[in-house]
Amino acid sequence: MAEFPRLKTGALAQDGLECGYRTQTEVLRYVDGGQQAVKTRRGRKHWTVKLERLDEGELALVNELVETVRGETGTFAFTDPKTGVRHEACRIEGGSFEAYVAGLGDGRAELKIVEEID
Amino acid sequence: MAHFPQLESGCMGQYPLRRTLSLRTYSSESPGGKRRAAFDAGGSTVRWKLPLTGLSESEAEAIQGLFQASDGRRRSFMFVDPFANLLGGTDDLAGTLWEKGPGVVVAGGVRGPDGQAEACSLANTSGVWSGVSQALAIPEAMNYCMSAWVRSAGGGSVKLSIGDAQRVVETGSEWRQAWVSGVDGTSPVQFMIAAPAGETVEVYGPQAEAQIAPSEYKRNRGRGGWYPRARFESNELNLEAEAPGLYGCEVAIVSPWEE
Repeated sequence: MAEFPRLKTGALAQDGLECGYRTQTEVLRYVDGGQQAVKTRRGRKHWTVKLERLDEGELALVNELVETVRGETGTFAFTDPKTGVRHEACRIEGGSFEAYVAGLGDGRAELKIVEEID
Repeated sequence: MAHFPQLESGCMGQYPLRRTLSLRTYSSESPGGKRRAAFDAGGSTVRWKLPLTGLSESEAEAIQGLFQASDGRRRSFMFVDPFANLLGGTDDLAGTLWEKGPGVVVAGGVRGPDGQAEACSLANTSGVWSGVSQALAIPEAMNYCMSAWVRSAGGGSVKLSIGDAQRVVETGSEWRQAWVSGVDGTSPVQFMIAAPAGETVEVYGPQAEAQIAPSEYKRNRGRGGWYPRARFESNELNLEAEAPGLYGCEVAIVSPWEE
């Protein structure tokens, strides 16, 4: 099972991490004014991991994860940096990974991750 | 084969560099949230944006010459990724990507300098220098650097070579980075790590790059980072004169993702 790599500092993420919970509910309105809320999909957690000051080795590890899971296709384990809870099946949203290296030891990357629920 | 030229500094690019990996997935999701996904390797790409400044006349001419020979976006050329380790299977010297020399026994599971069991031991039971190698179909006229972290329990030596360019480095019980830099001149370019007759060395993080000195180790479990089907992404290349004899330009290159 692929796993989101730890940085050399041992951290899973840096400041700027965004996390949230996404649900999908439809609200049906009836002619008599009544309404009914229907949950159409189970809720799932999502994160935006923003990484800065990475060296080329760390950037390569993140790139390797994206290639290993084939972008949005496969899943990997991700430990929520905020709660410490390990989520066994997560995937990358968007399928793209942009690595930007401004200078030596100054690599930057951003990944959107979403929990996958069967 | 046509290839993107190396700069006179021996590098493939300058900071800042941007590399975008776009992997295409076909997916569908049922109303209940069940998702099915299939990877589309043929529709996946890698893109580089290389802002180049301070180019000499000859560097600018080489890039412009490749652009004209390629007819802009029309023809493909070889691009050696400045972000990547050109060697593949770098944490598994016993793997199929590595050619073993006579009398060489490779064993994995050795702890590297980072404490992870991603290093290998390389035992040479033959009577001459022998080791593991990869021969890559990359431009032979470019300068490459090969590096690896090495050690041996009782002290000894290890030889790194890029074709005929080679360097013998003494090893001790502590991990140290050994490297060699040079031009092979023959195709395919062969990168080799070898141990002396009857000796065993431990090796971690083998890496080849199109530059003159080693950078941070980039583990690469897949194929090496060179792209024979790269193209310019634009039909226009503009050179800007920055000073007498100095030019700048921004080059955008795209390649199909290579598995």
